[in-house]
This record gives sequence, C-alpha cells and structure tokens, in this order.
Amino acid sequence: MRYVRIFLLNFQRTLRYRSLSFVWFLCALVDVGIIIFFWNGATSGKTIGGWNFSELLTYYLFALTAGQLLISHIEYDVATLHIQQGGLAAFLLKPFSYIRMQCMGEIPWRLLNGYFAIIAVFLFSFITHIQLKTIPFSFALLLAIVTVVLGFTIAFFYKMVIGLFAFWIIEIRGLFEALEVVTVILFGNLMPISLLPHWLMNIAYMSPFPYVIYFPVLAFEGKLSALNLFQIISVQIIWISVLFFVYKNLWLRGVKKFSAVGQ
Amino acid sequence: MKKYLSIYLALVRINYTNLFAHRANLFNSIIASFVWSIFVISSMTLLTSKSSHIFGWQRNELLLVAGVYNVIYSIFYILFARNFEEFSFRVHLGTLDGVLLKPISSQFFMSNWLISLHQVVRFSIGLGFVLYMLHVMHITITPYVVLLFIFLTIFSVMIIYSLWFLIMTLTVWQSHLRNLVELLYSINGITRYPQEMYKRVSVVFFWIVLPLTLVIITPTKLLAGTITAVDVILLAITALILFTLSHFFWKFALRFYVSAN
Repeated sequence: MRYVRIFLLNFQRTLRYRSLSFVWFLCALVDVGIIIFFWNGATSGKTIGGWNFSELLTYYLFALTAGQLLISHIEYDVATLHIQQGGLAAFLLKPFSYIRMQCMGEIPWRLLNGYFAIIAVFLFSFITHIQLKTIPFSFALLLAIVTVVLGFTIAFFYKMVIGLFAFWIIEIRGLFEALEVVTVILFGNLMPISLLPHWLMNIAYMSPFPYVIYFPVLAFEGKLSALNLFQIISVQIIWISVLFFVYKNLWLRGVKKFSAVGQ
Repeated sequence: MKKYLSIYLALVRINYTNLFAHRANLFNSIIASFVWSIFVISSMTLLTSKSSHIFGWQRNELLLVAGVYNVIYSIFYILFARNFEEFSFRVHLGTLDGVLLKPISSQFFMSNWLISLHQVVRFSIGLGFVLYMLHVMHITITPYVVLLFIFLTIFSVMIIYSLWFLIMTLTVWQSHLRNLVELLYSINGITRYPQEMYKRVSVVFFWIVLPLTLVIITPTKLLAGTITAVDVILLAITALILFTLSHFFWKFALRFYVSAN
C-alpha cells in the first residue's frame, strides 16, 4: 500500500511537470517523424525487406508509443543525483526498497508520455485516414500485453544496471551516450531489426534489446503467432532473471563501496 | 569589435584550460562525440542499405550528406551548443541578471561563454569521411570549391545558431522548459535528409522546414557539383534574415525578463 502512495505522489509530481514530459515526447515524435518521411520516399510503392510503407508506418508509430511507455530513463538520476552527488544516502535510510522507489517514480512518467504517444497515434490515424493494422481481440492480444509488461521490466533493470556502474566509474556520461547509440539501433527504433544487415541482426537477437520494443510492437501488429509469443515471453523471462541477478550483485557490492558526507 | 575579439580569445584560453583540468570529463566527452558522429554515418548507411536511389539522390550522395552534417554541426557544437544547454538555467535561476549588468552584448555572452573544444573529434571524423566519400565518388575538389564551401558553412552555422537562439529565447517566458534544447537536438535530424523528402510529404511542411533543409544540403550540393546560384543566394539571405531576427527577438524578450521572481 505504501508503494501505491509513493506512486500517487510521484504521479502528482509528474503532472506538475507535464510540459517537460510533453517536450520529451516531442523529441521522440520528431525523431520518428523524420524516419517515417524517409521511408515514405524510400519505399515509394515497393516493398523493402518484405515491409511496405503502410507496415513500416504502423511499426514506427507503435515503436514510438512503446518507446515512450516502456523505456525508463532512470540511469542519469541513479548515477548522478543518487550515487555521485550522494542522494542515495537518503534512500538508504528510508524503510523502502530503493529499486521499488525508483520504479514507482518512473511509472508515472512512462504513463504520461505513453498517453501523449497514444493520443498522437490516434490523431494521426484520424487525420490521414490511415488504418493501422493491429492485432484482433484474442488470446494473442493477452500475450502481447504480457510482452509489453515484460519489455518494460527488461528496460527498467537494464537502465538500473547501467546506472549502478556509477559506483565504480566517476565520469559515466560517455558510457551512457555510447550505450544510447547502440540501443537506438538494437531496440529497433532506427529501423525494424529484420531490415538490419545480417551480422547486426544476429547481434541484436542475442541481446535483450529487441525484447523491449521490437517484439512487443510486432506482437501488436499481429505479426507473431501465439507460439512465437510464448517463445518470446520465455526469452524475456530469462533476460529479466539475468538482469535481476546482475543488478542484485552490482547493488550489493556497490552499496558497500558507497560513502556520503554532509555537514 | 576589437574588444569582443580579445574577450573571445580570452574565453578560448579559459575553455582550453578547463578542458584539460577535468581529464575524466574530457575523455568521456571525446567518447560521446566520437559515438554520435559514427551514429550519424552508420544510421544513414543502414537506412540506405536496401536502396541505391532515394528522392533522386544516390546512396553515396546521401552518405556525403551525413559527412557534411558531422562537419557543419561539429562547428556549431564547438562554438555554441553548450551555451544553449545553459540558456534556460541562466533564465530560470536568474543568473541572467549578472549577464545583463556586464558591459558587453548579452547575446554575445549567452552564445559564446562556453566552447566545446572536444567536438574537434567529431569535426575530424566528419571531415575524414567527407574526403573519403569524395574519393569514392571520384570528385575532385578545387581551391575555389573549398573557399565557397567555407563560406556556405559560415552561413549554415549562422542559420542553425539563429534558429536555436530564437527558440531558446522563448525560455524568457517559459523558463522551466529546461529540456527545450533536447528538442532542438532532435530537430537537427531534419537537416540530414534531402529537401525532396519534405516536399513529398506536404508543400506547407516543406516551407516550414525550408531554412533547416538548406543547412546541410546546400554545401553538399556544392561538393557533389549540383549547386546553382539560387541555392547559394537562398542560403545567404536566409542566414542574414534569421540572424537579424534572432537579435531583435532577444531584445524584445528581455523586456519581459523578470529575474528569478
């Protein structure tokens, strides 16, 4: 119950800063919009790698929504505000789990940004009269929702893990930027993973990243069978276990190393 | 003019000293700069990997655009970008008071105080890639083209600077929008693609983004040998108009500045 209270308090704070959230959403919208325009010309009536423009459009609009809804941005707060500037001390003294607090702080931001994205997708569909191809109401839809929840969990643990690197690396911004570039490609934000060159596609499939955006988006497009979805959910659970194990280890070691002073 | 030149030289010296005073930070900034320049090139490589012609542009020409993008934006990042990152904080926290009290132009201060010398890495990668693409495309560059390219680059940087300044000036009214600068980084992406791409979407949209589409495409056209006099004149006039506009808009906005209250 106390975490629900924390969630509600964070939700109020998020609504207070809704214009900031909206600008973040606009950043993602501009990035996606430019790529959609690009494919509009690049496909021009033909299919590329089995994707026609309509499918690509649906993919990018869903990827925009998934990106806003599922990808946490806690790593900077964890690394700079909490670990480097010592804010973690205050969290350690509270009778709450640090990771749950971070999760409850992040979900409101994801919900608000996801809300902006969903509105934008509906508006786009309404104005352009383009019918977005989505999964019908079925058992597969239920499984698709599960992939979304698990996708959020993977992204959350991944961001938490890289944030905790700050226990050992003092200047971490370069690492974050490098990882951001890698993940823009491997999440499937730049283009669908199946359109990447073969060697890069293989690397992507061996990483947890396609299970955050790419597969949940394909699931909602109705491009995956129930059997495929079960396989994806299994891999997602494995990745969550791996990331949780890494997180737990880093946290236990890092906290022992952490020191904060004040006057 | 002489006063501003001596101030700017002093700023370069201070920023240079700062750069090496925080070595870990320098190392990180170099990594970030390197990674983003590679991303611009690799993303264009990936996007064009499935088609040889897009919007009437060959794949190599689009890769040349990515190289020119790195060159021109790295110059902008070296000279101005970090100042815009501080812009909303100066307005929001009221430290703009101190800027306004100084006996120099506040626009000069707000635009030039911080210089990101580490972005030279990005410039070098961009320039290297441009030279490589020119070699691949069998294009020979004459001293005249180099000179004209430098002029066009100055106008392009003026356009980017003026647009950023115009938009960041809005924080005088909405100072809490500290992530507005991130939106500008995203909008930069518009300049990486040919104008035909936007014409295809909508004529109205094309006219809205026209100044941005000139920034990278015009210098690239020069290198590819497809430039016309109209392109050069349009770039120069747009740069001068936007620069003048940014100056007057800043003066106008300062009337509404209320410090940290």
